[in-house]
This record gives sequence, structure tokens and C-alpha cells, in this order.
Amino acid sequence: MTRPIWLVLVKEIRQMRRDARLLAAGFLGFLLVAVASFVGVQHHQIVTQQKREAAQTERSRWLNLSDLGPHGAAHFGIYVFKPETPLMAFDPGVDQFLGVSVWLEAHKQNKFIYRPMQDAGAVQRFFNMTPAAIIQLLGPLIIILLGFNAFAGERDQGTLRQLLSIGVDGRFLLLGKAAAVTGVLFLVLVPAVAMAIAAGIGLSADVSWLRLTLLVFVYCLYLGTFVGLTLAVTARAGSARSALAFLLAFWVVNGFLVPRSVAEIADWAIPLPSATAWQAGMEAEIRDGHATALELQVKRELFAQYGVDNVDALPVNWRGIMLQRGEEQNYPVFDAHFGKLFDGVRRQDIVYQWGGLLAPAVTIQSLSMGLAGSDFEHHKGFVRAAEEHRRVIQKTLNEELTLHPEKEWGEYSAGPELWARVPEFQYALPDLRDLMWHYAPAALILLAWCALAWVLALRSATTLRP
Amino acid sequence: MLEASKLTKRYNAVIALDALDLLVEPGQIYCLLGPNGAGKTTTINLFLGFIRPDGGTARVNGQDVASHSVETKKDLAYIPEQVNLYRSLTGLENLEFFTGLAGHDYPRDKLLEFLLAAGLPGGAADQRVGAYSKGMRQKVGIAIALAKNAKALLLDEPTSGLDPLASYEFSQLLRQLAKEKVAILMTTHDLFRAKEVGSVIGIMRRGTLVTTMSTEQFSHTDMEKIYLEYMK
Repeated sequence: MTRPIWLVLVKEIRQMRRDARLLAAGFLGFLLVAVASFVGVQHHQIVTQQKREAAQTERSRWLNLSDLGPHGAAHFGIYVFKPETPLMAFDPGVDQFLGVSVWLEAHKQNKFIYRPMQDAGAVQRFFNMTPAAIIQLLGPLIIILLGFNAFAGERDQGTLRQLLSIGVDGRFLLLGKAAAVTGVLFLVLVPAVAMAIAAGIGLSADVSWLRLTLLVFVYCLYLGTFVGLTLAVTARAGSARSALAFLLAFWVVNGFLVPRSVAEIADWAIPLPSATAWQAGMEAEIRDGHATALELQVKRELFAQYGVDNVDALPVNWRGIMLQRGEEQNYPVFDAHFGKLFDGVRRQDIVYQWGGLLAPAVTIQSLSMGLAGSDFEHHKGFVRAAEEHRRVIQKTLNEELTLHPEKEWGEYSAGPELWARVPEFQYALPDLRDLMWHYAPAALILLAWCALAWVLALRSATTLRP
Repeated sequence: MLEASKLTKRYNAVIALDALDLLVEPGQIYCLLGPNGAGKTTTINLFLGFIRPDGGTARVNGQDVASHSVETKKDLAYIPEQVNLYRSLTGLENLEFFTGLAGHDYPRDKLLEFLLAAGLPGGAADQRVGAYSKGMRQKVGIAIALAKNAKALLLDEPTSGLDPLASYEFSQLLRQLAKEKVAILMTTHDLFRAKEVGSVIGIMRRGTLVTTMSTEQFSHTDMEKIYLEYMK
């Protein structure tokens, strides 16, 4: 049963090998993917190294702070850097639009800064040549160029008539041709991508093999969808030219029109406030941690608790308690405003994923970023981890201040022992299981696209007409 | 054996083939003659299962083509007016591919034998088909039929455009196949070739088989008169 498939595969490969134009195009495709992967890996390595060095410098700066009051140190603050996941070499996702660092200081939760795309030119903003983008856009194009004439070209040349007169099952022809297209695609894409992933893995020991396996799987589904669709169209088309025209139109719709339109629709359906308006809204609700009213309230409570009538008689430093109380009273404000923003983005993301019903590229973009750890969900996880760390820093410093009663503000100076007690920032990627439900629509839609493409292809192959 | 029984095909309101009854016995060469649009190629397409009949049946060795499209082709070989092969493959590679798909796994020597038997010049087997003449491609088509060991052969204007020598060689091969009890159905415009090679001639007009005659009973001139009479 497999012999006809093998014969068709060998014949197709033999024909491709003897087609100089195809060989040249394939070599150019390989070169493009290899260059994109190499550049992606290089960039990833540089950024990873820079972040690592910056984090070390920042930690060292913190540990070597001169003797000063804990609250003064809290205002000096510390920068934390979002670590690069190994798979970000393959798909940097939205990470480059969201910022890579945040300043953790007293009283407020800051926004992320240093967005790589701030420095990018217009062309790079339009199409950033990452290995993921290359596969998402050029992968289907290569499949279309390899496969548009698989049946329609044979129909044009009359060989399909000869072939069908032999009495071969059309499904064998389909599978043989699919194997040939997939094989060539594999040769063009996989070595370069494997290089990117291997280089990325080499940077970090904590790569998740589950993520990598799933990433490979979803890309197989995506490219498999295009193999099926291309063969279904070429089997039905009246001529190779009409098959190519239809497939190229679909490629444009899939790769450019739908993703951008769906993003616009999501933005329209679930509008997010502008950065300025959102910031202003949050700041309007933030209560001043040094406010006189809070100071009076804290003092009153402490005097009652310790049965004293002046701050000099208190066994604790009222300022430490007041500052911590000030921090805590703003936690719900930060949580509410960031939470609302995150919820809006999450709902936009769900709308975007359902846009995958119009084009499979939308689903692979979501899934690829999610598995690479460069999507908004991972960014959100990092923002929360950074804020948790900020709260730990403030609590540690304020508690230390509380333990040192003082007569005058600024009298107590802490030193390296305290700075070292502030833990180093650690961040672990969210568990994939927590993200599964979020990406369920995209995964199911991609699966449905692939199934539909192959049902159409098999149906077309069983009813082939010369 | 090829058999059509009340075989009918319509394209919208146009009747392309109207209740055709036809029988080609093993060893017989049945030539279908008629002008363009008479229904000759439609008949061939129905035997190949490329189109579905609107009525009646086409049978190959007793099996209905419509319900056993793939199986009936195992017993068939088909040579059209233009044998279309893969231009970037050699004659030998084409033969290997087509016979392989038909379920045969011949060694190279055997494949070369088939090409030689079909009349392809010795050195041509390893040349790419893109450099072949029409006659050479026809010979590869015949080699496919020989290698397939087909019990029935469908020929759609196979000698059209061939030079006289190539046509003669082709006729010789058909006779050889008929001796080997292959049932051959050939459509042609060439009355002379039909008389020379055929055992039965059927004349078609507007989808109908208007008459059949044995080539042994009539001279070439008689046949031409009859043909022209029906075409009026």
C-alpha cells in the first residue's frame, strides 16, 4: 500500500531536483531562514547576556549601598530585568513591545521601560524577521510555491490523465505529493530553526522540553494545514494558474489582512485606556504614604497600644509602621488598576484567538508566543512577580525601620547586612497547565483547520478528474 | 473485453452519447470513426471512468466501470492522441513510474525490453522525455501498455500527427497486441488506418453508433462511400 506513495514521492523529488529554478528558490529560502535564525540567536544571546549583567550590576549596586535609612534605600529602589526564555530566540513575541525592565521603589508600582521596538525602524515594526515570523509567513508561501501545480500542473500538462488511467488511488497520489512538499519544506526550514532552538537551549538549562515539543507540534499542525489546503486547491483547480492565484490570495489574507484586522476588531470591541489616562486614573486613587492624616492615625493607634503619649516613648519606630501601612493601603489600588488592564488585554487576546476561525496564522501566532513565553500572559506573570518582590523589599525595609525607634527622622542608618537580607529577585515561568485554558480556543481552532484541510484534500483526491 | 450497454452521456441538454451498444472481444481491434463531436472521446472517457454515465453501463472484463473505477483500470491501458509524460524524467524513469503505480516492479533490463519492443531507439531510454518527438512518446505509451500486461487497450486518435513510418510501426504493434488477445478500442479520423489495422469499424454520428462493418467485407473505397453517406 505504501509503494505507490513512495513512487510518487521519488518522482516528485526527482522532478524538483532537476528544476533549476526551484533549486535556486529553495536555496534562497534556506538562506533567508538561516540568516533570520542566526540573527535571532545572536540578538537573543546579546540581550540575555546584557540582562544577566545588568541584573548582576544592579544586585551589586544594591548590596553596596552606603549606610543610609531603610526608607531612603527603598527610594533608591532596584531595577529587575525580565529574563529571556530559551525559546524567545525563536519567537520574541510581544515581549519587544512591552519593555524589559521595571524599577521597584517605595510607594508605587511602576510601568515597564526599555521596549526594544522603540528603537526599531518602520520596516522592522511592520515585519520583524524572527524565525517564528519566517515560518508563519514564508512557510506557507514555500508550501504554496512547491505544491500549487501538484495536481493542477499535471492537469495542464496532461500527465494527470495518463496517471489516472493507470488505476491508482488518488489518495496515494495525494500522500506522495504531500510527503514530497513536506520533505522539501523540512530541508528548507528545519535545519535553520533547529539551529536557533539549539542555540537558545544552550543558553539555559531550564528549557521546558514540554514547551519545545508542543511548539514543534503546533507548527507541524500549522504547516500541515497549508499542505492540505494547497493540495485540496490544486486537486480542484481548473489550471495551475488559477490554483496559484487563489492560494496566493489566501496567503495574503492569512498572513497580513486577517491578523491586523482581527487585532483592530479586538481593540474596538474591548477598548483599553490610553497609557496616560490609565496612569492618571491610578495615581488619582493612590494615597500618599507620608500623608499627615495617616501619620496621625498611626500615632494615635500606637499610643493607645503601648499606653504612651509621645513618639519618644514608643518601643517601635512609628515611621516604619506608617510607611508599611501606606504601602498596604495602596495594594488594592494597584491590583485593581493593573488587574483591570490585564483583564482587558486577556479578553482582547481571546477575541484575537477566535479570529483564528478566519485564518490559521492568528492561531499559530498566539500559540507560538504562549509556548515561547513571550506573550502577554507571561509578561503579566512577570509583572506580578516583580510587584510581589517590590512588596517583599518594602516589608523587609519597613520592618527593619520599625525595630529601630528613633527620636528624629533619619537617625537610623542601615548597612550591608540589611541590604543582603533583601532576597535576590527570582522568576520562574508560569506552569504551562495554567495557560492551557487560555490558549484552548487557538489550539482547537488550529486543530480544526488542519482537519478541515485534510478532509478537503482527501475528498478532492478521491474525486480527481483529469 | 470491452462492453457498452445503452451507454448514455448528456452535457446539459446536449446528448454526447446516446444509448451506445458496443462489444470488443479479446483479440479484436474495434475502430470508432466519426467527425468531431460524434461521441468517440466521450466513449473512451466513460470506459476510463473519467466521467460518469447518465445511463447504461460501460464494462471492462465484465466489471462495471462506474462502480469499480480503480479496479477496471488495472486491466486497461490508455494511449491518447498526445501521450503526456514527465518531461524532466527519462523514458525509462517514466515507464518505471507508471508501471510501478500499476503494481509492477520490473528490473531495469525488463523495462528496457518493453521500450525496445515498443520501438523506442536503444539510446533514447535514458534521455529526458523533454527531448522526445511525439512518436517517441507514443512508443513509451505503448511500452506502458505492454508492461502493464493490459487485457484491453483504449486508443484515442493515437496516430494523429505521426509520420507514415511511425504510424505503420504503431499499426504493427497493435496487430501484435491483438494476437495476444488484447481487446482494442481505437478512435480515429483515419479511415485508411482503420481499414488497415481494424477488425471492426463503427461509424458514429451525433452520439449514436450509426453502423458497424467488418473490415474484411468491404474495400477501402466501399468504406469511404459508406462513411460519407452517413456523414451527409
